[in-house]
Amino acid sequence: MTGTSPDNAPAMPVLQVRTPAAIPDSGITLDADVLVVGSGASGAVAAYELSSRGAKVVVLEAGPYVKSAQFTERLTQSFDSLYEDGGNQANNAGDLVVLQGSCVGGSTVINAAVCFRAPDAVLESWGTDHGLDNLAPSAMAPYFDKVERNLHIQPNGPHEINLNGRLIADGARKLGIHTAPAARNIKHCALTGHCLAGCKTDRKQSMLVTYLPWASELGATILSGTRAESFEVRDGRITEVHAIATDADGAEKPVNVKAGLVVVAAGAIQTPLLFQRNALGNSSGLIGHNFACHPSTAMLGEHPDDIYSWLGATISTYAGNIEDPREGSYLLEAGFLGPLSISTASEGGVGREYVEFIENAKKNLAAVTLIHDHNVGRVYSENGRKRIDYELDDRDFKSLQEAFRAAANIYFAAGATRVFLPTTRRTVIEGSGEVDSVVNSLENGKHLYKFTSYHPQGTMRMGRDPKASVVGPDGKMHDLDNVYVIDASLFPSTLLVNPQETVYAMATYLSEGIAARG
Amino acid sequence: MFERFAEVYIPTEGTNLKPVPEVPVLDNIDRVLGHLDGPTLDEVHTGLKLFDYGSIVLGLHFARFGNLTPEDRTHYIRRWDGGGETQRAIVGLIKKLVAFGYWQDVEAARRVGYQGPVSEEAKILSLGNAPMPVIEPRPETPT
Repeated sequence: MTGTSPDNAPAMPVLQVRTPAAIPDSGITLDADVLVVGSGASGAVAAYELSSRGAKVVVLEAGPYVKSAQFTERLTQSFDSLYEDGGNQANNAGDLVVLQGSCVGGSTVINAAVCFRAPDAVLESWGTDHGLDNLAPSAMAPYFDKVERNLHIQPNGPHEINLNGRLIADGARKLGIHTAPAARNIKHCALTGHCLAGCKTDRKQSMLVTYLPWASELGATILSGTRAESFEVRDGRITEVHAIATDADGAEKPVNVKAGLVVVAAGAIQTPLLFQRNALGNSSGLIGHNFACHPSTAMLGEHPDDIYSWLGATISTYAGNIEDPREGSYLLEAGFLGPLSISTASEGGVGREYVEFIENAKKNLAAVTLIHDHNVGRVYSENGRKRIDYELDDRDFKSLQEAFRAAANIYFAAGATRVFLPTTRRTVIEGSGEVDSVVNSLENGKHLYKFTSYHPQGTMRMGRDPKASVVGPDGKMHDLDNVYVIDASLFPSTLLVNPQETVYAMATYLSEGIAARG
Repeated sequence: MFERFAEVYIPTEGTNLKPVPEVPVLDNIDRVLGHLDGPTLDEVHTGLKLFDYGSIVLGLHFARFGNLTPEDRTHYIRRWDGGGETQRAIVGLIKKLVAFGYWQDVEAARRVGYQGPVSEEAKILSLGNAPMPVIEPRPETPT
């Protein structure tokens, strides 16, 4: 079935989603060649790639189906409808918010659309350290090429780079720091700046408007509001997956899927929890371990001019050496959101001090910091409660300081008059001469910085050695014959850069392998 | 407690900001808290009580936070800002909740130059779903 675009030009594929309301109270049983758990960056790609090769595919998505016409361009309302735990998912200490999409299309619906290829040095280290020679840069290049074509990934054009992005790029160039326009999976961007609330006009080429409708067009069955819960296992194979579909009234309906192959793509938090809950596939004892997340902060720099950093492309330019991630590496991405995000990601003080800070919000240069953190965290369940044990490692704190130092110096080079650090106690750098002394005086510790993670990774480590990893080089779990994992939980180390394009490329590569093996 | 906190955290009187009483801060906070699981919500409630009664427990004042003068409330928040890990965690959470409660109001955000929702007002058309990709020769799967 196909639909028509508003101007009645070429017929477009239609996304058909079976919601819990369409499932009878008695439940349903489905048969599939391949069951895909999760409909985000990796699950959607697998659904399409396997459907295109003739497989009968069923996709289970725990989150709701929210059509883009229902997006409100209000971040807090989007937290309610599109984000995991209403945007409140956090580490055990409560000082790191971990944002993930929980909806049909997953995090691709609510991300900033920023795309990078995995740095060559990272892919090469995966070969050296984890036996993943199959993911060498030259081997992966065709898959990056393919997803870049399919998702319209290209660097921002001059018209998409706002004053904030231009000033930050100018400042970086003055200091000899590499800078370039960010690439995004966007077509004809309307520059509303509402990427994180979902793209209401379907400019962002998220899974909601690309791979999922394509898979649907090829016959894939996609269920929303349906959470995979348990497995039937026989002779090292999952033969059936039991799920629960929950409708708007809270009524739970059983959904059972008998499948020849199971592809798990629920993301780096839900994927390990699913296997832990079933005590399955964990002979290495590593499921849930090696969690990392690119802990991010927002750096603000007050400028004499009105900047309006939230107008235009959500992320416009970047600065930093991304080609050779190592300790001390950082990435700065120019762009940020409105007064809510500025208030929660920075510290404006209390009373008149805060009012002055927020009334001047439009004058701030703004960038998000990313660092190449180590895999020191763990995801697990405690009495049924999701737990994320992650604290910033001291080695990574040095990288964070370098990110702060670079951003502050760039801002002053770009004309800022003072810089606000993302500390929980108000910290202001009043001039370039203070940057080193202020940044060097910072300490690592809980609840000292305002962290947000958009990139959980690493909890189902891929590697050649079954004792040191959960999943093999082909994505198949070492302990199970017909179960594959294809999401960002595979990454043996962090990328430094935004992971979505690498997830798309790896899912394409792994899906082709799955199809080839039958 | 949240209302007393918001009054001194965002003192809107005499500014261009939307007056706090005109924003349904408490309702908005309730909606955020509604997403928390039971144990986390219990921890939040414990933290809020600790903050509210902390002025007495810590011997700083002879009244709960909500009954302090605006000046004392501001002073108290600043002390917690610079306090230990638990104090920082609690006061940070309250600030975040109040910010959520206040800034999700579209008019409040527009007062500081944030445009808020634009696509419907500007009647920006949806591009719809992307066309099916052109099938090209498949890359050879590495072994």
